[in-house]
Amino acid sequence: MIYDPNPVAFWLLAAMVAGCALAVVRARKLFHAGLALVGTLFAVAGLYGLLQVWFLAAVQVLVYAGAIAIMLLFAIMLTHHMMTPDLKSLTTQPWTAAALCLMLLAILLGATLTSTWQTAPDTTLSPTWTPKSGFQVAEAVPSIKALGFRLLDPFTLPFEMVSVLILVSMIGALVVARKNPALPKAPEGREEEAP
Amino acid sequence: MHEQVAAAALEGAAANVWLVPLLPFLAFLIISFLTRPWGRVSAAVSILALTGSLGVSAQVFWQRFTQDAPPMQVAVPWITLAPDHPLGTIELGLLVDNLSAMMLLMVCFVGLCIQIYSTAYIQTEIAHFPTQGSASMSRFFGWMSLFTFSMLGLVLSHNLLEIYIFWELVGLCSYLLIGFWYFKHSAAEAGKKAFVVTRFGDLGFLMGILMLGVALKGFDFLGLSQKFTQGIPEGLTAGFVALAAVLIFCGAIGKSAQFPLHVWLPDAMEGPTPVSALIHAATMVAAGVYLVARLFPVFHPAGHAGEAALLVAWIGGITAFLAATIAVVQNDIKRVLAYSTISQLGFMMAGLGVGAYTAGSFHLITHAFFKSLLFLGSGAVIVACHSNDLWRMGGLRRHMPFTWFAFLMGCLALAGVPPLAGFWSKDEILGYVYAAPGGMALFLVLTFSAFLTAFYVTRMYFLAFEGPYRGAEKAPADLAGPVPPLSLPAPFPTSQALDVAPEWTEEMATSSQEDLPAACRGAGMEHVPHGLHAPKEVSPWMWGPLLVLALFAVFLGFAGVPTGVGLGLPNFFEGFIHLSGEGHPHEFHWTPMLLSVVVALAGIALGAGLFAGNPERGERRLRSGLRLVWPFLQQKWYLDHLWARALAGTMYAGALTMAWIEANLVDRAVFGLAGSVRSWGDWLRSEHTGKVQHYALMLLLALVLLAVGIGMVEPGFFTSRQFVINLLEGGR
Amino acid sequence: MSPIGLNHFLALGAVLFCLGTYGVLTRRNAIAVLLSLELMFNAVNLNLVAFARFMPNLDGVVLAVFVIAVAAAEATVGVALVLSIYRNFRHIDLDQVDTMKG
Repeated sequence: MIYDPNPVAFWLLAAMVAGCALAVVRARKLFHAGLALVGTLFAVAGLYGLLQVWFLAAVQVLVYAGAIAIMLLFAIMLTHHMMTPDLKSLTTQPWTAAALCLMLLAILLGATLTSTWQTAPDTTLSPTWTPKSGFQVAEAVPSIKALGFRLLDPFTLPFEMVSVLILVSMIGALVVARKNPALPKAPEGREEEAP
Repeated sequence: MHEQVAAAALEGAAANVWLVPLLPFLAFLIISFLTRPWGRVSAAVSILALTGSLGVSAQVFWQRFTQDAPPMQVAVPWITLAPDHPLGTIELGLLVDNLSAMMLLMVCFVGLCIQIYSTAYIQTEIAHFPTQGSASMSRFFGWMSLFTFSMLGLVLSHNLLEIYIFWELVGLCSYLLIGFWYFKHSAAEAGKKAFVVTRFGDLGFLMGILMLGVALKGFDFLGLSQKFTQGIPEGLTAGFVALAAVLIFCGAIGKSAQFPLHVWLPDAMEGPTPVSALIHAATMVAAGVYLVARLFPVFHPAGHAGEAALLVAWIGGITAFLAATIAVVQNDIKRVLAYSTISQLGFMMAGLGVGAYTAGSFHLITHAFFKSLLFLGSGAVIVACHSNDLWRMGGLRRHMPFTWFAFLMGCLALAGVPPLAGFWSKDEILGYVYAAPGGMALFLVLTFSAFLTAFYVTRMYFLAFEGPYRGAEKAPADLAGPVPPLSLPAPFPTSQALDVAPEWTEEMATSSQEDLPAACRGAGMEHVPHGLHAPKEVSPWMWGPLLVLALFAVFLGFAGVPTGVGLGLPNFFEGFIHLSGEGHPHEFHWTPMLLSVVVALAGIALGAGLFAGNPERGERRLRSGLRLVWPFLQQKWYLDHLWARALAGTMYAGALTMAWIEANLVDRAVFGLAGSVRSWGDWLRSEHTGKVQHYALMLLLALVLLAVGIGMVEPGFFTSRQFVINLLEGGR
Repeated sequence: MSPIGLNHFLALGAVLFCLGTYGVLTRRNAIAVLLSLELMFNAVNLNLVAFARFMPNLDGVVLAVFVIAVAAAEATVGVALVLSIYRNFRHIDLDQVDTMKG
């Protein structure tokens, strides 16, 4: 039988994802947008759990909601008055952007829904959870162990490269964000000009 | 590729013949790059080199004269065409035969005399221009050396393409030396005119060269000549050969200032007088005659005059007559000589046209000597009188005896008084024309021209050398001065730019003063205050060469006395220069000889009668006697006007058309294109906001358009099973 | 309720992606743009995981791990850039950062 997630859970999580995402892009206050992003990330983590990819759900919560979102919130607080309500969050092109995004959505949905996906019946994936035995996971379920082997066997090179990438991005972030005395001083009075 | 020509390799003295053009060229290089600041050193270098050339060419001449050898030549490949190309290899080479050896000697000798003369003369001209100094003298001798190199190269040329190269080189040198005082507007204009007018002829020359060379598969003179000795070569029609010959003759018309392209030569008198003597009397203008002589068999296949030869003869006759008539009315001594040169070149052409190969060449040589003598003499006179105007001269016989004597010899030679050089050579042409079938009309024209020649020479001589010295003060105001140019309504608005350069005028003399740089002002020859002192004899550096040339003007003629005269002299010249394989001494006629003596004496008598006692009265009688002919001659038969009208007008109309096309078609297209690019750019620039979100929007727009486009072109692209499989399973 | 299949997840991913795009295009605040970018990353991840689960193929999950790692790197550099912009312009309004033109 084909894996069949719980429809109620799915629709709840889907509603949460869409609603929080809408809040991210439409919130008047930047801090609210940041909080809404955290909400979106948690909902996506829930969807991962619904798909029984537990490891990824945990990573999503730890890395995204825990680290990235917090970092972004810090940035918000560093650069902006946190609760400033006068933030005009829309630039001059909302309608064009909206129209284009709708067209993009139409294209994506059209391509997705009219395609025939080569799905396979998954006989082993019925979720079994009992308080006694905990999760009973079949062999084909994407376990952490399988994932670990997968990362180390065919994806060794990308794995190592990603680690290098993260290191480089850390150093790069330090270099970019560092105060550079050689740079000319920021023009004074620019803040007063900005509305 | 070429037919085997009976020509020996260079041997004996002729083996060194390459030195002859090379030495002046080295002198040119040395003067240009090393001795430029020191004018006298440059002069010495130039003269030394030319002396060396003269030595070698004298040896070559003597070798040719004493041995009866076939023509000698040497050639190296220059352009190797494809192996199967009909033209094969084009060569550069040297051709030494009697004609070129003769010409070499003449060019070197006359050139040397003129250069020695120039050392003194050019300084008097430089003295008129405060900004010009020793470097100008170097410039002069450098260019003179370059010219000498080019002329000697032309004489030694082995084939038609090579002669064309040197042909253009002498044209360039002529341009440079006519415009030697380049800051004088009139000189610059005259140089340009000479260059442009001869260009018309050279266009025809080049076409003729290509016609002949391609049709006969070779350009070298000996090969070409040999193909024509038996008549028109196989495979060619007489019309084709005549057309090619006429086209080649076009080059000669331009270079030798024949009607109707003669208009440049009088204006070329703007150059320093030695330049006029060397280039525009003795050597370069004779190049056209030399060319026709070189290609004599082409004009006279198998010894019979073709249609082209008839044209040559009549062009020569017309030119001789026309120029002689104009020379009668000129007041500028150099212009009298210039028209006289044109006229004499016409005589040579006429002679070559009727088949007088020997006579035409002989007149070329003798004319080179006595006409360069006359030009140098006129230079001396101009230095002494500070004027070109005959009416400001007079009585110079007493003031400058050496110049007087030499000039008188030149005049007599030009007038055709026996037994001077000009008599024998001119008479031989006349005799040939007289004897030629159907040549009677041409004979009469030439005889009348000879009469006019004697007359204008006498007029010039009496005005300059006899009577009292007039100077600027006593010059008759109504007679002296330049010919006022007839003002014609110009055929186009900007006549100034395209009109022929007007004659030397008092008005121009003043206006050209204003053209000069400030430092040079007040420097024209006509403006040196001089009237208080009488003219003085020039330095020995100047009259020395005059006397040497006078010697030749007197005695050179005896080299070519017809055997029929009975002086007991062999005809050296005819023995030396005659058509190969044709030892025909043409029949001697007493009629033309006596007639030419009579007309020469008549011309002199008429001139002396009018100008001996009271030249002013004589001139007035001449003018009133000629009535309407006088202004007609003064305006040079209106030929300059005709050229201005016909040629410049046509060109101007063409230029107007082109300007219209340029403005309305080309410009519109170009500007339209540029404008559309600009407006597109303006629009695109407004999109280039520098805001990253605009760019992202464009990115998205492009993505959507791309997706829609792909979906429209291939509707199943995104949903096809294969696409999905590839997408998903490609990595497996 | 109809059973939830692959298409549901894909459609949700598409919606999330378009919302993120909209945010990137319209937000004037640089940090808000970064937030929207995170939405797009999540949309992609959602698709990957859904494919991995329904195909079934573990590679999708591996790819998702990589995407999370790259997103972390991106967020790091992005925030650093924002701080740098803030230091130079005294604001982080992207519609006033227009020096990137010739």
